[in-house]
Amino acid sequence: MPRPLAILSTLLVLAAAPAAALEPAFVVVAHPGVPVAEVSRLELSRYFLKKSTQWPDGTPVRPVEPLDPRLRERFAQQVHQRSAAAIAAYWNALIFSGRDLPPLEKSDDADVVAYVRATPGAIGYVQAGTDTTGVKTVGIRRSP
Amino acid sequence: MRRFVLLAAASLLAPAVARAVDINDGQLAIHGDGAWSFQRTSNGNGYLDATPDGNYDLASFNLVVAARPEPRLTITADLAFDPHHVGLEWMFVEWRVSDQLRLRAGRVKQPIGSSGELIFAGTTRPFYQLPVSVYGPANIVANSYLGVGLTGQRSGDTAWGIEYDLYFGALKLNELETYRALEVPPEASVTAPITVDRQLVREILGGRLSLTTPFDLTLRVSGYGGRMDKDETSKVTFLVGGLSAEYQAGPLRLGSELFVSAEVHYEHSVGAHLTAAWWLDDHWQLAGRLEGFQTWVPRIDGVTPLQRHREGALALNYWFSPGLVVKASVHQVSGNRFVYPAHTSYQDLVTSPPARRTSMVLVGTQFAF
Repeated sequence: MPRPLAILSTLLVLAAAPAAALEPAFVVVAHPGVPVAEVSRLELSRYFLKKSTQWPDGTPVRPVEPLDPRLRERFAQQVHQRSAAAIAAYWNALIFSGRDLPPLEKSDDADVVAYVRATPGAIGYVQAGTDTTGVKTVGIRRSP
Repeated sequence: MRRFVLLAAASLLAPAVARAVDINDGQLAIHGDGAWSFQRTSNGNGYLDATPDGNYDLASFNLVVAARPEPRLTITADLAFDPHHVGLEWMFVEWRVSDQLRLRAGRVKQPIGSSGELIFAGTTRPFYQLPVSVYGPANIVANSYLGVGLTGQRSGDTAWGIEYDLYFGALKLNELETYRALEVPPEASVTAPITVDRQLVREILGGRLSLTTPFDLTLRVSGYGGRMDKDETSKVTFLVGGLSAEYQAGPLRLGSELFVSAEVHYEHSVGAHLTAAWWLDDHWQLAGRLEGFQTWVPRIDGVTPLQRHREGALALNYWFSPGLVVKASVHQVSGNRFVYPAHTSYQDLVTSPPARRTSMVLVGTQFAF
């Protein structure tokens, strides 16, 4: 899918969310070497829940999240279709069973972009309008 | 009572729970969870950690350390601390071949039921404790297995997903057999005080299969079998199997499990629970639970209260955040399978039967970071 269409589809997915999120609250960014231009909502959810840990070319997926609780709530509601509290409970279960650890956390959007730019396989999300120079913007497909 | 009020106030006034520690972009991560509770029973009986006078000395802390020296290799350990014990709860090394295959070796949390790997993780459940009829000293669930295992998961293009575990080795069960003096002929040890024994099961082969559905429902089937030392000269085959279902949608959380265990030719037990929880708002949660456990022993005629456990419980929780909760619950128990007076012997339970009905109140806090 051409990039403008991918961005348009992202907007469509986000438009299906509550009115407060009519404008895209976040943009998904990835390392320039990541071999996808767009992903489905379900695939994106699996990358951030570490249910899928490799890109199609075998590179490890390295998810990273900002600390901003409002952005995390929007991402959780729109991508995982769960509350941020439910996602925190999901990670508690995985941490204390020794199964996995949650994505890295960075203190602000600039740190997320810097980590994604410098780390092969990295994927993150930042507030729309953040300077994303040097990283790839990944669209969200409506269908699987 | 003043001490209890001060401790409860200290818990409530504690600062927000700290975040986990990540070093070198996740190559070393440190997490922790802990708990403190006050537990009191009625009618002169004790119920595991709960006592008739009230037990305040129930604090615990677990430190989980995970090192990831390279993307496919993870080394994880859980150090457990309580007022009477410090120990290694589990420690294992994992090599991730792919999402579908991860190899594990060491002392690994036992993948059984919905919560076998989460016995100490209080912030993952609505009640302070897991149901004793499945996760207590009921000869069903161990804290960990000692050996090697495989695990993996597979998700398609839909929200369906499967996860499997397969393991080999040994495990230690917590065993509490209050009915021991009823057996004919009685064992010589029946005049000794009742204790929770550690029973080793060798040569185990176990597994769990989990199915995640798009309907907010997760189904699991799990079990294991091995050889248990019955006495100094004989071994018995030991088998455990069960079904688990979890449903979470909106404010509702439902969970139910049924497990059967058998020391072949000696005894068998059935344990089950139904747990429901409802979020009243973002912080308050109401929960209820019904559970039962029963053991049948060929050398005992019929089923006595010492072989039976029935329990109903209600809890009210206040969650400050997903990592900090205060829980209060009341429990009504019938039977003496896990409930009996402290410092008593197996023989005493037969000659002076304890009260069959016992109430318990519990107030506690649990946290995780």
